[in-house]
Amino acid sequence: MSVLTSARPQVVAIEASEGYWRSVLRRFLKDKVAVAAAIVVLAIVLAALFAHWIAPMDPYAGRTFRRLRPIGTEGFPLGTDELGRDMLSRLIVGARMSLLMGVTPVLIAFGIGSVLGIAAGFIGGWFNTAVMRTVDVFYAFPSVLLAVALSGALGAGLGNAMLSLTIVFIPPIVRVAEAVTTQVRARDYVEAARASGASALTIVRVHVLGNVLGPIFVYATSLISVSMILASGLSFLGLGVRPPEPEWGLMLNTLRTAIYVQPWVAALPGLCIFVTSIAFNMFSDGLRSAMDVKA
Amino acid sequence: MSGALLEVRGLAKRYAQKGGRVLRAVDGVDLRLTAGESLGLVGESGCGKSTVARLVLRLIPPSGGEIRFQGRDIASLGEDALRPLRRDMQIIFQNPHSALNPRRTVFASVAEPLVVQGTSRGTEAQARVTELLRQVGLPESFLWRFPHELSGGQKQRVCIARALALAPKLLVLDEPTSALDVSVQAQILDFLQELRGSLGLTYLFISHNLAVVRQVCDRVAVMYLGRIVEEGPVETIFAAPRHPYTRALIGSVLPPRPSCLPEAALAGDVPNAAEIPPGCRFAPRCPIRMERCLGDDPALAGDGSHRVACWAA
Repeated sequence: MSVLTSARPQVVAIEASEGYWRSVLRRFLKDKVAVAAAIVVLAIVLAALFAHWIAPMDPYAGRTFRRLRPIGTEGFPLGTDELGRDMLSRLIVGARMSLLMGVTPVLIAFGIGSVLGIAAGFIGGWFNTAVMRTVDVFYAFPSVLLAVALSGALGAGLGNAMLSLTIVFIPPIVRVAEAVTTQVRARDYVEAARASGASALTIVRVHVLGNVLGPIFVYATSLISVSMILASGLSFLGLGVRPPEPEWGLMLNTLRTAIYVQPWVAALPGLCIFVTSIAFNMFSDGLRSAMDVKA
Repeated sequence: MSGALLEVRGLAKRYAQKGGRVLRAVDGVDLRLTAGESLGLVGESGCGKSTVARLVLRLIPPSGGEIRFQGRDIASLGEDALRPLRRDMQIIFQNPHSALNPRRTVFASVAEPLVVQGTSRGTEAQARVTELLRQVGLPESFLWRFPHELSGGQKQRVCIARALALAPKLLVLDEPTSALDVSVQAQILDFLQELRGSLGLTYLFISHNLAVVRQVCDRVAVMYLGRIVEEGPVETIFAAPRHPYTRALIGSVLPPRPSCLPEAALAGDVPNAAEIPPGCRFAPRCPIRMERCLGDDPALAGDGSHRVACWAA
């Protein structure tokens, strides 16, 4: 923008200003890596949404006579798993569970963590201390350990796995939210609003949320990949999704015994996790730089 | 001298620090602003100038003293009781880059006080904002601009427009030009002068820049370590400063003339506001320190308009 302004000041002077989100979109579209990542994310999401229409075969139907076929087998482009089920169909349908477990905990944690963090940052004082020290307690554990311990304690199952992941992600989001809010609260425009008599609620609504939710959201999207990996890990340990439900982590687990027989087929779910999390990460990276306005 | 718009007496702001120490950021400040005048508050960074600004506007609660605005003590009023009074006093900040919300248009920023105070909305507000922009010398096309599309000087003009929106009586200017380019500084200063004349505003002008204060203010108060050490009409203070600190401040700005001996530069640093020395707070750095200064704290005293807190004066 600054380059543009200095090069053609007279043009900019009469141009109507573009809105914030429009400028974010324009900057995002310039970032080729981010756009590619966004396309991959979109493709995965669409595949997950319409899995049952896209999947060429029934992901649950196995035949013992066609177990562990290699990639490129006729009728089974990505081979079959240890029970003779079509890998392609299972991977497509598995995207649903993996995405669900990757995205839902992060979204819930984004909601709860933002509220807590913004409140802590804005109210400050003893409330801030209480919230942040509680968060620090959770920080003492490595996230993998915490997720495994929590879902182990809660018992296996999809709901409990997502609950434990949510609890794992609340502390880091609270931290980011608190840090950004504390920064924004110290800005002079907040003080100017107070000098005009704006109430705390108005200030939060008008000045804090708009400047804070973007960065927190970007951070949260970067957690989606972590969440997917942790969710796969929980399923791998038998704490998340139960067989025969297709889920990438669980598939990785059940196929690991076949690693010497069909290494490429066995690696496929891992590849899916890898590609999806990288795509989410690059997408959130691009989003962050696109949203970074020079004040 | 009955029509004081703002009268501050014994204003104090203390912050409790770790280890039971108390930081006295503002330590018994007396100020008096008559309607229509411009008082400069000068001092080194960290002397409590900006804290005074925020206290006067009740953006932070004082630890002691009174703040009489139009005769009414506002020092202990709650936020709800303050709200109607906020129309009459506004602030302009040092850094226009952080004084405007980067996500809001110029219109939204300037209209904010109007909306908050419920004075006008919609098209009426837009007409008022357009009028305000014109008043600060910005075209109507700026209404829908975002702060990052404006220069520093333009941003400061937008901030001035916002501060003027409610037609205040008192304007607190917290170093309004020190974040701007020198060429823009002069423009903004001239503009502020003009504005005061045309709107009959009262300024509390906070600055560390003596030249700026001399240009804009009628009276000056010199602050050192949380207290005012000398106060008087601008020309008197610049021509005949009586406090050794004021002398050192002025001596550090004016070019040395061959006819007078250069003042000795001040030795040492400003003491920590948590460890204000007993007696005169300037004594440890004072070139004309006497026995008495180490034990007795001088009060601001003097004849009429020129007052000074020094035993030697």
